Amino acid sequence: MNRTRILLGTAALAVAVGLWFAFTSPVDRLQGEFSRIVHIHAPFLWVAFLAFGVTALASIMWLVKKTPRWDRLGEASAELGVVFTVTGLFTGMVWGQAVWGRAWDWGDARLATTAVMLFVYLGYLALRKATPDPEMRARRSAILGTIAVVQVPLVYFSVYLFRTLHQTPSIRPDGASMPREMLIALLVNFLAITYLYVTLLFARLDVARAEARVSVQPDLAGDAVKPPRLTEVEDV
Amino acid sequence: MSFWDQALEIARVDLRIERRMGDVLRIVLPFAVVALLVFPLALGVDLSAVSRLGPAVFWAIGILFGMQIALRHTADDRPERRDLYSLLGVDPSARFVGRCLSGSALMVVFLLVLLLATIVLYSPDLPDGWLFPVLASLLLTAIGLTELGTLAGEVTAGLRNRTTLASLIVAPLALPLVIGASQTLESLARNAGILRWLILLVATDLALAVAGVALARPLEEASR
Amino acid sequence: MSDLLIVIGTFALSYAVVLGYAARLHLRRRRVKD
Repeated sequence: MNRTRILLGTAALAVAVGLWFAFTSPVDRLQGEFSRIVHIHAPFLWVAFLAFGVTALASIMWLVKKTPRWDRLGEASAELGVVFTVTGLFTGMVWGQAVWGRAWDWGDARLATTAVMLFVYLGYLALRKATPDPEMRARRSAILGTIAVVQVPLVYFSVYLFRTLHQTPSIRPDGASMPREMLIALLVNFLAITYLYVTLLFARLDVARAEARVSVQPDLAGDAVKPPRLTEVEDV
Repeated sequence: MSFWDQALEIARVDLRIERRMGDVLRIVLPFAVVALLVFPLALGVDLSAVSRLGPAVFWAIGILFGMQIALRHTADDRPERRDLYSLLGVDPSARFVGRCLSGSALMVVFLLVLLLATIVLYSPDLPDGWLFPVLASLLLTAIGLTELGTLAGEVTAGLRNRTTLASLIVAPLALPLVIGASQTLESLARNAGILRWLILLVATDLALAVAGVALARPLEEASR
Repeated sequence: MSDLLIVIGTFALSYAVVLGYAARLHLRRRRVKD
């Protein structure tokens, strides 16, 4: 718990440093102050993807190992994924509306994929909420996570194809044409916000472990004996 | 019984149940046609716009409403029935494939009738040689949507709000199907290549098939 | 100037959401400890 406090404290510091860089870095000539938004928009969306990857990995690992820690990791990362995806998309919409007069950019495959990811997260969390039995919850979430791993790349690829063939270039520029100081500021923020995600993940896992410990009831006498599952009975 | 015999038998039983007390053609299809009517009225658009919107609306409604077909109650919805299948030594992958076969068949019928309704109601401008590409994309979309819906249905089996939750799960992941299907026709109209879209659909169907078969056993344990 | 305010507001709102999540986490943690 102390460790978590320290981690969170250092994360806050890192974010503060990132903010300092974000607001003292040079701005884009055309976009003005609004170009600063990239220092929160891009890192947040990167973390959204990272969190998704972690949930996906945790889902597959649970199916392989069946240990609760993977389930907890998947859940924690999914929650954080929602937080970072929503805010990431929000910052992007502000940016888009302010600079290009359009809050949504259909030409950006990553944006559409991020939106899809958000709903996959929400579905994942809704499924968990709706399943009371812990083992069932873990199994079903893991399956959904695995299906998502398979489908989300296809989602990205399909939107990418859609975009290139409709010749809608993304109105959001890639980082290639940024002045060096701006790139540095962006990198600092990437690191700080990734670190923030990791520390929040640890904090969230802490809570999950504590809750798991508390909710374990001593077995009632009959519970100690479980009837064999049909899949385990081989010569019936 | 071999794998395919099992799958086909399950599909056969499923279709038989659907014929006797099913709701696909009796409820889902009419519902989707109503949606076709709602759209232009809600949009208040002029006739030329309606014609142009036709294909897009067809695919949007076809996929959004069609996913309900994959969520239908089927032969193995009760835990007792599943246990029976397990006792009989039915391969869970065969069960998945069987359900996908029957579901795809129903989905194809659904989409064909919906297509007819769309043509009648929207009078879309269809490019030359549209029949074969549209049918191909229709078949591939039906398969993919059924696979996705079957997986989502299993993962939400027995839960309250099952249909809505499963729909929430399917909808965002069905995007490649929406894009592949609608772009097939649009590319044809613009004389561009349709092969990439059909390949996209095939790739999606294959990926979901592999996932479904690989996850069949954990899915069976998950939906008791 | 108003541009900068919008930008600051965007940053503030975003980090506030993250902070809010952390705060909820903290409350959950305290509830478990009891």
